[in-house]
Order: sequence, then C-alpha cells, then structure tokens
Amino acid sequence: MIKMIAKLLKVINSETDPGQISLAFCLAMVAGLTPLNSLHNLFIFLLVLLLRVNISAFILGLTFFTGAAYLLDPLFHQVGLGILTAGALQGLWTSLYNITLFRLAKFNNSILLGSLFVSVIAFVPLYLLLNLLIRKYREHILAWVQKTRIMQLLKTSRLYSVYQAVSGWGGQS
Amino acid sequence: MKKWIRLQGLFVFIGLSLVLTIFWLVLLDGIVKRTIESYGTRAVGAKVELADADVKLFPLGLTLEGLAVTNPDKPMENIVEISRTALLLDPLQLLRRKIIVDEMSLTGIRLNTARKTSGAVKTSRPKESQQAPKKPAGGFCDDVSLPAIDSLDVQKILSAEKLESLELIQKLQNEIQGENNNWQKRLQELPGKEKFDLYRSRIEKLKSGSGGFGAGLLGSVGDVASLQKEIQADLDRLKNAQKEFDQLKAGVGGQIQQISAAPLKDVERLKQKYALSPQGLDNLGKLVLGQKVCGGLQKAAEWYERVKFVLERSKPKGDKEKEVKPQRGAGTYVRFREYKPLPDFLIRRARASFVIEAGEFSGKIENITPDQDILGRPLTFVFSGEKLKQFQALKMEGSINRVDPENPADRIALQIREYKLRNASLSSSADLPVTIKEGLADMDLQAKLEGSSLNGNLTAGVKSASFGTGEGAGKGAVLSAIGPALAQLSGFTVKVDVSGTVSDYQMRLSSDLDQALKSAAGKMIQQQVEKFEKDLKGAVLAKANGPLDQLKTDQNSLNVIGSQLADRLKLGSGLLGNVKRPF
Repeated sequence: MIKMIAKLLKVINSETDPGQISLAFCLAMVAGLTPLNSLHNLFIFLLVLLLRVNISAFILGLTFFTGAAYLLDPLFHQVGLGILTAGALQGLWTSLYNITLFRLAKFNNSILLGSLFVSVIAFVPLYLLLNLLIRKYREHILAWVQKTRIMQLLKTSRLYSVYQAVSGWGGQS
Repeated sequence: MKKWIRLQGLFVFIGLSLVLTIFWLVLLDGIVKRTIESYGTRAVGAKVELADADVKLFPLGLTLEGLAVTNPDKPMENIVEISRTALLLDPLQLLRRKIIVDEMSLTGIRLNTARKTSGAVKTSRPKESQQAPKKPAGGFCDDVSLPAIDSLDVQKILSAEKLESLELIQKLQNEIQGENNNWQKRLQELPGKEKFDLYRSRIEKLKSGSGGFGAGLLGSVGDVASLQKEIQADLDRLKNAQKEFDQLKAGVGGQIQQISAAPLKDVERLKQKYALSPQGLDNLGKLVLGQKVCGGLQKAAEWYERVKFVLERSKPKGDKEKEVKPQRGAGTYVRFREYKPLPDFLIRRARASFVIEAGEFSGKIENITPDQDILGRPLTFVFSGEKLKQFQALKMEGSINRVDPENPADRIALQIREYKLRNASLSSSADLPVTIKEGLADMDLQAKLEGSSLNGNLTAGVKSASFGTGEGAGKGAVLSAIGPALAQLSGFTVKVDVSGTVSDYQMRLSSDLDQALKSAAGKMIQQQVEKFEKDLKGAVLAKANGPLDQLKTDQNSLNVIGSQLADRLKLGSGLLGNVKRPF
C-alpha cells in the first residue's frame, strides 16, 4: 500500500496528464460504489486496462470507494428504489426488464441502480474537479510542500525511500 | 489518440478473462455439488448427499449422480435416493435469473432406503412442528378389541352397575310413606266418629223435644235444616277427600305396575351394554380392515405433505409487480411485467422411474413450479407400469392445481391390478390378527381435494386368497368363530368413502366381509347372548323382587286410609238419612 501511495505521489508530482489520474479515480468511483460483481464493472475494468489511465490511482480509488459504498448503501437503495418506482419511467424499465442483457446486468436492483446513477452523475464533475486540483497542486503547492519542515522530515522516512525507489523506475504508468 | 489508448491492456483483459473462465469451469462441478448439498441440507433439515455433479455448457445441462436425501425424522433412512438426475436448462432464461428446466430425467428412484451412517445434522433452526395427520372419526384407527362375551361375570356387572328398577322402587316407597303421613293428618282434620256422634245427639235432642219434630214447628224446622246443612257439608268434604285419595291410589297402582316391569328393562339395558348382539357383527369388516385402511390414508397424507412443499413459494410475492422491502447491503429487486411471463423456477417435464419393492414403474411429471398462477398450467403427473414383480398393472395419474391460488384443487386416480399379496397383514392387533397368506388384489382409488374439502373413494377386491388369524385365534369366542370363517373365504371386496375436510374427515367402510363373518359367528353369539340374558335376568329379579314385595305392602297401608274414609262417609250418610225422615 505504501508503494502504491508513493507511486501515486510520484505520478501526481510528475508531468503525467492530470486527466489520466482523474479518469482513473472516476472509473474507480463507478466500480467501487456499485456492487463489484456487476456486469457493467467488466466494462469498467476493460476501460481501465485499455485506456492509458493511472492504475495505482484506480486501485487506491477502488479501495476508497468500495469502503464508502458500504456506508452509502442505504442512500443508494433509496435513490435506486425511487428511480425504479417512478411512474414516468415504468415503460422504460419494463422494456429493459424484458431484455436479457439488462436482466443480467441486474439493473432492477435498487442498490445497483442507485449507486450507478449517483456515480455516473458525479463522474464528469469529479473528473473536472480532480483535474483542476492536480493542476493547482502542481502549480502552487508542490514547490511549497517540498520546502516545508514536515516534508523535510518525511524525506528521512521509509515512505520517501520508497518514493525515491519508485521515481528511479522512470517512465509513466 | 495513442496517448490515451494502450492496446496491450486489451490483451491483458482477454488473458485475465480466459484464466478466470478456465478456473471457473474447472471448479464449477465442485461448486455445484457443494451448493446442492449445502442448500439441500438446510432445506430438508437432514443430510443431502451427492456422489457427483457434472455441468455441461453445450447444451447447458447438469447431471447429478447418487443423490441421497435423509429422512429428517429417521436419520438412518433416506427418504429418497436417486441414482441419476439429468436436466437440460434454458440458458437464455438462466441469464434472466430464471431456472427453467426443459427436460429432466430421474432414474433409479428408491424410497425409504437404509443409510450406512446417520444423516442427522445439527441445526439452529427450530424444527417445524409437523402435525400428525388427523385420524378420522369413528375409531377406524383405534386398536381393535373384540368383546369377550364368553367371560362376562353377571355378579361383577351388577356390583358395578346401578339398577334403575331399585332406584324407582325406593323412590315410590318414599312417596307412599309421605302420602301415608299426609293422609293420617288429614283424617284427623276430617269429620270422624266423634263429630258424627255429636250430630246424632243433636238429632236425638230434636226428636225428643216437646211434641218431637212436630212440636214448636217453626223453631224446629229451622234447626233441622241447619243440622242437615252441616252434615251435608261434612259429607262433601269426606267425598272430596275420598275422590282425591282414589286418584292417589290409582296413580300409585299405575306406578307399581310400571316398576314391576323395570327389572326386565334393566336386564335389556345391561345386555345391550355388555353383550355383542348378532347385529353388532355388522361392523366386523371395519374391525378387521379399518386399521389397514387408516394406515394407508395416513401414509398418503404424509406423502402429500412432503410433495406439497415443492409447490410452496420460496418467497412472498410482492404487491402486483414490485417488491419494496428494503434490504441492507443486498438491495431490492423490483419486478416488472414480463411480456412472456415465466416462473422463476420451472421444470417443464420430468421423467422419472421408480424402483420399489413391487417392481419398477415410470412416468412423467409436468409443470413443476411454485408459480402456477404465472405459468397458467397445473402440475400433472402420470405413472404406469405393467407386468411388474408384484403387479400385473399399475396406473397413477393426477394433478395439483394452484393456477388460482385461492381455489386449489388436487386430484389423484390410482388403479392397481392383480397385486400379489403374500403374508400381508390386514390387522396386526393382538386381539384380532388377520393376515392374507396369499391372494391377488385389485384396487381403484379416486381422491379429490378442493380447498379444504376432501372427497375420495377406494374400491378394493381381494381374490384367490387364503387367510390366517395367527396365534390370536382361540383367545376369544368371537375370534375362534371368525378364524374358521376367514379360512373358508377366498376373497372379499371393500369400499371406503372419505369425506369432510383435511383436518376433520369421516371415513365409511363397507365390505362383504361383514356378511361372511356375521353368518359364521352369529349363531355362536346368539347362544352366548341367550345364556347371558338368562343369568342376568335371574340375578336382577333376585335383587328387585324383595323391594318390589315391600312396595306392595306399602301400597296396602294406603288401603287402611281408604277404609276409614269409606266408614266415615257411611256413618255421615246414615245420619243425614235420619234427619230427612218425614215429620
């Protein structure tokens, strides 16, 4: 895990496109908040591998969002149930219910649909926000952080030695 | 674009997917086996074991070898054992989370087989209280006991029984005693000899007055009239009392006459209670066959309860199309209308072959599902077998209909031809052990259960039979008479009608066995009854005659009162005659 964090720090501190890191977090959010053994997550994993996104960011994000999902389940259930029972959408759901692929995707599960709905809605805003934050970090905070006493102390820690080792690998994820 | 795409990731994805699929396929059989064993054990409450499971993908199917389901009530016995179960699944419906078995084949089904090891499991779930099937009214299932009329002890019976005749005699005696006392008091109040003597002296006085009745005419006429009036009034009182007394006497006489017949009524009552009348033999067929029929009926009820669970819904259905029960972590599956509705679980057709003691027979069951209302078709079954080891022919068909869950209707029809009986116990009771040493039986059963209303009839005929009454023969007079009669029989027919509700049903049994046994045992019973009646009559009369004589003596004591009343009337009437004499 320390290696993973160090790797992430290295990526954030490098010249890697912020979009690659943000997209990894956003995909991790979808996979983490929704039940992991869902059909759509197969597609998410395909995207993670096929697109040049930061895998460390994805794994860390997945860990974080999976934990968060347990706390948010009641909310997702309410949201999902609300959408599934909305009168105006009954025709759509009935049509999808009769399509095997959607039944296999378990779209009619309240938690799955609720969490998918929330994560898809939050996808683009989170992507943009993370992009912005990474850029701001690199522009304004990175140099200042390097000079702080805490960072000086950290440089003597095991985390930093790992970070150095990772940095030594060179290249991008 | 290159900046965003890494093609090697696609290969990694495909590689990982392949590895996972192969891994899954290798382990699948084991997973299915353990799942079936684990789920089955939980559902049954006793070990469910499987020798092997084999999943095939093309076409999608499953083969189970050596399925054994332990009887939870008898852990050393399998309720059912199936050598091979092969089923073909509808893959498209499986993707829709529906288990639709198009074709199922069960071979080598054996019932109630012995186990080598116990199949009991420790379960935290409280065992559902299984109600024993209710016995029918009418004592069919009770232990058989024949009345031992040859060993009836009259004195013992009389010491245990109260004789109504003695009670009636005692009651009347008390009444007579009471009336006697009352009338003694009334006699003292009624005009008697003393009063009439006073009248006589007044008459004498009037006669002996100056000039007799003629002297002082006006004054004496008034006195005579007054005297006449007084005597007449007393005579009227006496006449009324005598009338009343005569009524009492007649009533007592009538009661005594009735009571005289009471001892014979006691004899009749006790005879009915203790002695078996020849008419009582009408139900001997029920005594012999009732237990067997009852046992069969209860066994059928047990199997019906076992089979019924297949049709019970595993989960409560939501209101109309959706379930709205929140579940933490798992969520809720909302159901929507299906264009082509299908149950979640359905076995369209199951072919099964049973191996029982009598031989092997096979058949098919269609539409096994707990959601018949969705499918719109009832479960039907047909089984048949010919030239079996023990049967010439067997055919069983029926249906379990829950298409309208509010109005369930189940029916079964069973035909058995030439079932070979050998040392078949009809009644295992120690009092009336009857076995069919050899014989052939034909049987027709029709039963219908609509809602809670149960209707059924069974007609069975046994032919070419020889009977035995075992060691019990000779233990009682009735049985010793029945034994030879049974030995001479070569067959019988029996008809059983069942009606009522599942929880409260009536069973009527009629058989030509009744007539055969009745004619065999009737004469002996008649002789025994006559002897018992004679002894009983002598003993009852000996007990009742004394009190009856005493009653008659008490009745005579009333006659004394009657005589006194008559004397007083005679005396008064004589006096009145004297007063009326012409002047």
